Amino acid sequence: MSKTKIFAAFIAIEAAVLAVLYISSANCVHCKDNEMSLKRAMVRAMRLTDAAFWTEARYTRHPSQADFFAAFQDFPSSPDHFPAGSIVPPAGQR
Amino acid sequence: MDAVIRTEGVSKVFNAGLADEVRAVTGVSIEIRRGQITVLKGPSGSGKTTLLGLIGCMARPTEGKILVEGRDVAKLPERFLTSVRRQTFGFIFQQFNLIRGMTVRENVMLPLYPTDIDGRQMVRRMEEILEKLELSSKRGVKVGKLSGGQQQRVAIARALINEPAVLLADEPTAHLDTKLSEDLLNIITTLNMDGKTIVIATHDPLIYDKPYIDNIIEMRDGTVREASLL
Amino acid sequence: MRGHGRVIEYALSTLARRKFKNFSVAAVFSFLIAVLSSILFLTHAYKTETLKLLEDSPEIILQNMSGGRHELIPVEYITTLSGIAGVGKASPRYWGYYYDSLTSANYTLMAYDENMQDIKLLQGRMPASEGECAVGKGVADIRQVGMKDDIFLTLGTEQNVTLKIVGLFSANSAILTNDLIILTKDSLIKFFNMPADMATDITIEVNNPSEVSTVARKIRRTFPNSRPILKNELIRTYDNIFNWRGGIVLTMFFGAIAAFMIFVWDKATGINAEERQEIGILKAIGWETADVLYLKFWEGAAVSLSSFFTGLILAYVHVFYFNAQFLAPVLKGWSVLFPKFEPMPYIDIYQIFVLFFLTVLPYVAASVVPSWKAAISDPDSVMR
Repeated sequence: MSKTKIFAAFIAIEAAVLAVLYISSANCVHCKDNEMSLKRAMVRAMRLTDAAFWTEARYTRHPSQADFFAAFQDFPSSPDHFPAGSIVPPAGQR
Repeated sequence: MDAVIRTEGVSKVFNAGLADEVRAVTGVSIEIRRGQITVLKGPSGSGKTTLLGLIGCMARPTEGKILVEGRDVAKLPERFLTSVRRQTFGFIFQQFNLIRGMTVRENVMLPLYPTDIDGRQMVRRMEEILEKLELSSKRGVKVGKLSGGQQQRVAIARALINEPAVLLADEPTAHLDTKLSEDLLNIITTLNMDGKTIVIATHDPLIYDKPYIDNIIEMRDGTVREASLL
Repeated sequence: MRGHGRVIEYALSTLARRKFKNFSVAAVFSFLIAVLSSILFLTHAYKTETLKLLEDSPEIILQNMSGGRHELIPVEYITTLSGIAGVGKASPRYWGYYYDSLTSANYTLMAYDENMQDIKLLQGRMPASEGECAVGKGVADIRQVGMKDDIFLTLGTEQNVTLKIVGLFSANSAILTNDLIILTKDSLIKFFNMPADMATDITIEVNNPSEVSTVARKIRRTFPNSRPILKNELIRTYDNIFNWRGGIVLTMFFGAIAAFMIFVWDKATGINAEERQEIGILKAIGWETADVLYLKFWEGAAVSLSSFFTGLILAYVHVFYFNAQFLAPVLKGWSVLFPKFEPMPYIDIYQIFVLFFLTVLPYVAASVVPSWKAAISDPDSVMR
């Protein structure tokens, strides 16, 4: 039964690792509750409306507030709603 | 005399209804008697291997009855057929049909793996059989590394592990030289003396000319040409 | 049960016998799972965090439109707005974009107001007088400045400003503050040359959140040129963005997925002569069809289950311990100011189950189904 035992042990270890990771993730989220509530307070106080992920153009910095035709404003040949996502920069930049 | 197996008008047709239809066996009625050595003799293509397969519940006949211990197996569903095969028969194939890359002991115990037998009992049986066939020293060797004669003996050991009443051998000497063939026949006669019923399909005169062969059934073109029951 | 145990054991030794083949399958499988779940983990983590944060953003943002474009809004609107039933507090926001040609990056400039007084995730303080500012981590890093350093912004000879950094937003707030420069309202108005009594937009609190759309409709009727943006529109937009973005990355890996599918298909449509022979032998020596299928099930399950778990572990470690290093370039593109990847480990069990059903089950099926045909045929084929 040796191989079965090795396999069972392997799967059990992996499952245990996953369980630990999952618990620690939940824990981490939980222990960051405080940080999260500080951030939420920040959003409230500063009246922020967008996350600062894509800052390369104004319609990407605040996607929720972009004009309906915004995609043509800053980078006319943009193949992407977020120009940065197109990997290749527009001509002339850098 | 007591018959372990009896066939009544058994036929087997491959690819029935197609252009390449083959009638391998036609209307065969024979008896295999308990405790005897029976040889199915005939040239290649005479249907002896097919008949051996039918007797051993490896395939179902197109027509006719096969009675194993008085019970017709021709119409049994596949599960029961398998269990009859497992309990009654041990097979020795022409090509040995061992699982390469696995050791002698694993190959020998393989038939018992899915059964409910106790592990220790299984190992004990395996050790006994290997002892009897002088393979004990090879138990941990991969079968691919063994000589033809040794592989043949492993195949016999595997056929014996489920303690079958009947041993079926298909051209067992096809890949062996004269010396090894004699050794094999010695093993077979020993097993016969232990009470096993043995059926050999062969066209090797070395086997069917032996005086201790009890019955010879001669086949040609899928039918029994001559049966000399002693 | 003993029998089952031995069949599993045999399945594992069968796998061990074809070490190289099965190991490479497992490696490819694990890699695929790792890539797919990295994308799912990362997107989900960011999405969850962003959506949670946006819960606290204002109920309505009111923009003024002119010629279909966003325009500055007169502050006097607030008086009228306050008269509309259901409208709570309405207050102006002053902010704008600044393109910094030095670093080819866009910053967001925002005016300080007294509500920002108690913000915690800030090292130092908020700007109190003209010539002071608080900046986000991204800005500080890209300009290579720190506390007490000066930062110079210019929009031409008339409009330029030198600001002393008195506050630094902490790194863990980068998702919100990375590109921000907070300065006093007067500095901002002067720098952007905004006309007096005009603001960038107006945020509106609504007394009863379930009446937001009614309130928005009333506002539109009052100011036909305005555009109210609702919080739930904001949230919906972000939800779409992340799904869309995750989808794009998944599409980029479509080649890998397709290759894997072809591989599974290849396995499914035919087993090789050796495997067929082996199934024949097992049947001939007394294994039942069910035993053979059980064997094949375990061969498939062992490979796919261990690969799946391995892939998940790799993905988790990659995304949450190594901050998605291999995926970051794809998400970042040529973006200059991207917040440091430190996703909060939000996990969606449902996604993992979906991934399981889409990868492990097909693989197991592809192992069992083709053997079925070989297993139900008469075993006498091994004699021929």
